[in-house]
Amino acid sequence: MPAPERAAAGWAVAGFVAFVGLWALASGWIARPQVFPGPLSVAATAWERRLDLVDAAGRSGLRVGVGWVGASALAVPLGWAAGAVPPLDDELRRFTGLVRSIPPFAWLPLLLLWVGIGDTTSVLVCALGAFFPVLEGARTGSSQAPPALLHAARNLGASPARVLLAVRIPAALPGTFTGLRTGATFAWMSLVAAELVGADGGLGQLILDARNLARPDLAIAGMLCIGAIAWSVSGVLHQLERGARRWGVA
Amino acid sequence: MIRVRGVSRTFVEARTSARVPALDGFELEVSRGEFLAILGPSGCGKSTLLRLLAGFDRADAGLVEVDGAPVTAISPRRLLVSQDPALFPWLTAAENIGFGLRAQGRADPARVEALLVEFGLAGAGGRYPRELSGGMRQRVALARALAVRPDVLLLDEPFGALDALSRESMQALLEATWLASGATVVLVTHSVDEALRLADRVVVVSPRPARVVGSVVVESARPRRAGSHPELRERLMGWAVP
Repeated sequence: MPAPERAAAGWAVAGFVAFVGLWALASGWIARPQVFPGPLSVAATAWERRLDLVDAAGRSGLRVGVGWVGASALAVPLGWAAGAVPPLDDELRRFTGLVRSIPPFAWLPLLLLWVGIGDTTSVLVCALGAFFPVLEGARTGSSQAPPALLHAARNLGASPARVLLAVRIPAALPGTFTGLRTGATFAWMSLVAAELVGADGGLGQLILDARNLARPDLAIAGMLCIGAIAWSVSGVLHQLERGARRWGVA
Repeated sequence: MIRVRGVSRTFVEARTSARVPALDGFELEVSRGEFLAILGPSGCGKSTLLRLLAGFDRADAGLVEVDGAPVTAISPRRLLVSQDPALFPWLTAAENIGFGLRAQGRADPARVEALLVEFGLAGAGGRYPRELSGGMRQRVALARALAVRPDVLLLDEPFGALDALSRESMQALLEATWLASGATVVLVTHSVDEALRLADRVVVVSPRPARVVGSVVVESARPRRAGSHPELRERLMGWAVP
């Protein structure tokens, strides 16, 4: 492992150890495990309820995955097109300027009325959370494609479609991956709110049940589960983004 | 033949909204197959002229013609190569060279291979631009332009960022490929020696707005040595430094 990566890994381990240590100290200081359980208590609960956690994570992951993929399938091509066609970009900005500032949770009452309680509502809330960050990443990446490369391609005889496919989209990939990563994070954040309101299982529902049962250890286990999954997904997308940046585009 | 008649192009400066004339009634003719060098101070409008010839920009007034047809759009018949090689970072050297051929639906791996050898890039075809030196990147850019066999090659300070040795070898390469291709070349340069070494004719343009202030024909045989033609050099310097 190269020295900078070794140092980064060392810092990550040290940060994790410090976090767990501070958590243990705070929990011991408060000395009310029924309010703020320590890391050992949470770890024991997580092991004991591992099947429930895996099941809830699977249900939540599926909802986030479907919402994020659906939103991305729409937002990425739209963002690439907007970055390439300034009038379309202007129109899109006008339209999204208002809508994007509405938090996904604010759509919940309407979605519950329109679609009802269930997976579809949760998926739609996740999709709303992911859509605008992905759109913005793809749009920025596309609009910032180096003009010198676009001119070179046109000068060499490439058609507008080929310039888009062979130059603008490859140049837009780093920005697009940044948007996908941010979108995945926002989708997870939106999911918990959606599941808290009403869903059949899932990590948000598990956290709500834990509150009703006065089980903060289970609630924290569920929260850590969400954090770990979101962090892993973000890590994978970050590696893809780094790979795209190694091309030297952005 | 390239014909530029009474061409004017004015830009509006974004910060001050001042109108800046880059070209004002500019006149120039270049014969088919001629190698013309244009000398002039920075910012005088030389690059604007090349962009008009390439079809990247439109004149406010006047006529820009190539082979009797007005230039109205970008075309692979008139290729512009600038100081920034503008290589596609996600393509290898060979893929960069073959880009224009593929874009026009006439992929030709044999021609790409021949150009790699001709431009001293044999063995480097599979490398990405970030893995090449500045000189090699510029070779790829030139090979990419010549791959599509343009009628007119427009060179905007193409060797300006290279070290002296790379510049020397690129000049020799350009001369050899121009002689073999028969293309018309318009080279914008700051270097009097480069102009005298490569060009059939050298024109000197004034500070902005550009206009031709002098022209010399270089008649000696090729290949020429660096530093030859001291008398022409003196005349050009006289026009370039008022």
